[in-house]
Amino acid sequence: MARFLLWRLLSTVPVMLTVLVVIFLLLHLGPGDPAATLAGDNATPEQIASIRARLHLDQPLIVQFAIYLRQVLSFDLGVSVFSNRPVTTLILQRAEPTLMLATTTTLLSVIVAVPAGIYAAKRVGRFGDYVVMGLSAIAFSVPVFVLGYLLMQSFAISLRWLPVQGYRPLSAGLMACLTSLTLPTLALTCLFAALVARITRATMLDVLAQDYIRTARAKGAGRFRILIVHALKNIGVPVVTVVGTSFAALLGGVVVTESVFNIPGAGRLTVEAILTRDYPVVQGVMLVFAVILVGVNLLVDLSYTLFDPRIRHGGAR
Amino acid sequence: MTDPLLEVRDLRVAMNSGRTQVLRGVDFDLAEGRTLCLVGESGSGKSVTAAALMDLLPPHARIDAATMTLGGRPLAGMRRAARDMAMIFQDPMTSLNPVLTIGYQLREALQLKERVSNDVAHARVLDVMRQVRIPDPATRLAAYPHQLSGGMRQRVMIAMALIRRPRLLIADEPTTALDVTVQAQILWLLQELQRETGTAILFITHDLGVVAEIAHDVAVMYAGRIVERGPVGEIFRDPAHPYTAGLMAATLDHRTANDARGERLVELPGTVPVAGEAIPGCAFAPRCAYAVAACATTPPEWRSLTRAHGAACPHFRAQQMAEGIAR
Amino acid sequence: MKRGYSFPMVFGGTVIAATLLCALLAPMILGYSDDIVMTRSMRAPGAEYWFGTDNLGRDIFVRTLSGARNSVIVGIGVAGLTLLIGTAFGLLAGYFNRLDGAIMRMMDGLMAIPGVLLAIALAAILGSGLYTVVIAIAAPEIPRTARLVRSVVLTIREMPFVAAAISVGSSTPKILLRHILPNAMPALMVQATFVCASAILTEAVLSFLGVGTSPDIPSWGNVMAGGRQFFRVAPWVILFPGIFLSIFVLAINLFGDALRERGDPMLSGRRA
Repeated sequence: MARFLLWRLLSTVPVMLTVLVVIFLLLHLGPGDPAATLAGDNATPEQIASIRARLHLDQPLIVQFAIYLRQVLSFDLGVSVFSNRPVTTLILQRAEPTLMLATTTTLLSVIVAVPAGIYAAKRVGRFGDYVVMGLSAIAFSVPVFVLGYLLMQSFAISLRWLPVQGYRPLSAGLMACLTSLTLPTLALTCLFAALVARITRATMLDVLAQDYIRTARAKGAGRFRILIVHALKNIGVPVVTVVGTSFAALLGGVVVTESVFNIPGAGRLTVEAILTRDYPVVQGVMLVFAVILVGVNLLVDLSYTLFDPRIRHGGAR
Repeated sequence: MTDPLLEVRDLRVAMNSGRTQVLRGVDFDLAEGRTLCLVGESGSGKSVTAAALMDLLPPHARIDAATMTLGGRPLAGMRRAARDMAMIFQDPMTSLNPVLTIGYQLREALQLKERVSNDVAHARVLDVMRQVRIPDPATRLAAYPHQLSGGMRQRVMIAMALIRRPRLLIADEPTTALDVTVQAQILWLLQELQRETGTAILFITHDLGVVAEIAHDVAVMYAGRIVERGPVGEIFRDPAHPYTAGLMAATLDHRTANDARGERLVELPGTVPVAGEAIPGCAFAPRCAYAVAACATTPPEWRSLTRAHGAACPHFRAQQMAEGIAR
Repeated sequence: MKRGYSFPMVFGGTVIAATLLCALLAPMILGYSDDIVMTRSMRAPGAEYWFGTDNLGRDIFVRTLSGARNSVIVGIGVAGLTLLIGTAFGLLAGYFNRLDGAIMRMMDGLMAIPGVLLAIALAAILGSGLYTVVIAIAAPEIPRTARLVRSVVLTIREMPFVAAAISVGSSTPKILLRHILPNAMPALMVQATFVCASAILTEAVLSFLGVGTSPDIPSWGNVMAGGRQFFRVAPWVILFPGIFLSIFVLAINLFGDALRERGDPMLSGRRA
């Protein structure tokens, strides 16, 4: 168990290093001088030169990367070219809406999609299965922003049930906050729940075909008991895995959803930064999102030990 | 003889909502304290028979029987938990749920059948674990299946069956997945337990070596029917169906090759008819060295040799006798 | 169950064929008439303009049909590029133990950045041409394909026919391309459909966020992007291209699912 933990922690080091290299190189991928790119179109040569010196862009690439690495390790993500404020401050200011949206979406998706996937597996090849799988295929194929606008048009503009856009922070009260997040959460849930439902169904089908389910049937366990006691615990690992691996899609979806609904979160910050060519901010947000993603996957792996005694005891899988 | 515990008459099973006939009328009895071995190649319908008794067939299967009673009570429509029977499966590695403890799975087996308190259940679990000779049962309760050896897991499966004090124990190839030495231990355990509890055992196997060790009676299945039935000694000494004779010859050949495992063991020329094919005459006729023209068209008549021993072949004995006289 | 043609296969195939036809022929039939005519701006859908017009008076019907072309190019381009590079990495990682660790850690790192985010950043940096957009969308898709190919290679290379090929002196490239790669093809084809579908969605997102292809290259994405500011008064600008895009993506996904279900039993159930 301790060895598993340690090994898993160590394995994130090369991954994070790759992430840093990719993010670092991003700036150097574009055509032309990165300092000029950073300074913007109307910059004077003096401005460009000062940026070059400040960001050590006159140094060899490997030295630049070492400097970047040292900065990042001391939690310094640089300074926004546009607003001249530290990137970490900017991200922290925008973190709450993004975290809230990601949380509500994950919760709602799991609540909707896991039962739906199990139901489809129980009714495999029949009407109920086709309905669930069909809906998930559709939800999977509509762009999040189209869905967002459709929801906005129907529930906010036509019916006037919910606010059209914007975000109320938690400090304004939980209800106000959740109300402002209802439509974005719904839009994003469609995408995420479709993924989770599909994998839940596939996994459930695998589990229900196992010998130990037959044993439980032979004992006389009822359908409900078989589902809850014998099958559910066994689908824990794969379902948590898919929630973890689709988290990347969720974070991507957050970026888009925040733009549609005008939510001042980290996703919206990225888009603003990209449109204003504020690369330190772009790099900073990407790094933070990558850290979150790696962290989530770490938690997912650790949660395996909760579900599967074989991993808990360090046995072979 | 008193009334048999298990009575099966004309059991028919069809898969795919009745389109594929896999059991074509199976008859047998099993008395308390006796072991009946169902023998046959894979696909002969042994396991389907067991599954029909346990109500474990897939929903698209149709079961149909003139009689199917346990202790005089018809099994059709009876809840699985209410049936006085329990089953042991082939592969103890996969038949136990990996995420539940041994103790939980044993207790569940009991409490689904009888309403007993957790304390009583706990005591019964420990009892039954001792009964199947699991050492140190109190600590094993908290163990998960992967922490036990294959033999231990099969003991747990047997304990799970016994804890319900079944009058009939169905064992579907319980030793096939185990090492030869463990296999012998498990067979010995089953016989001991039968002596202690008086349960009837329906033992499914394709291994005649196992049959010789454990059976009181034998029923040989072929293509969804029982083709020969009788006490184990008589069947081994004096097979009355060419298929039985062939099985035994094939096994003896292979025994010398020292391969006591695997379904491939009993290899006869030709193949088992495809399930669901309509068979007007004797299903074995195409592979039979003794077949006459009528065999392919008319159903074989049942010939009794002794009170308990009979076979669905009127020609084999006659021809053998003729050969004996000629010699 | 796997006999004949299932509904998803027929539906998917038909929609895909129809869209490809549109993509090929639309510019010729319509004569590219999405001119800016301010006098007819923001017309609601009706008999004259079936899908309405946008703020610049461009016919959304015409733009939707001609947008199909570039969306399809992006989809196919990304699928092709991803498959090419992903397969190369996957083959190398799966066959050469020395490269495996390095390549796969690199792929893990690439996967740790949310795909859409990486695509947005790349598109912003590389510029807004059709081909730069294709590259930007393809980059985050590569690791998944590489993983898939690697897992197939790891299974196949243990098979006797590979040992046989080595024993008769086949060269390594020949073993990889002639003996191992064909076994990965069914899974790759399925993967290609999913990459294509996801690429079309990502392209729409990029355009929508303002880093996609430039507005003079109409795609479903940037036709919709044009309607963003006027959504409350002219929802049809987003709605109609959105519906077309969704149906097309749905068709590709269904087709891919159907392909997978009929596919090689060895590969079914394997999750990329």
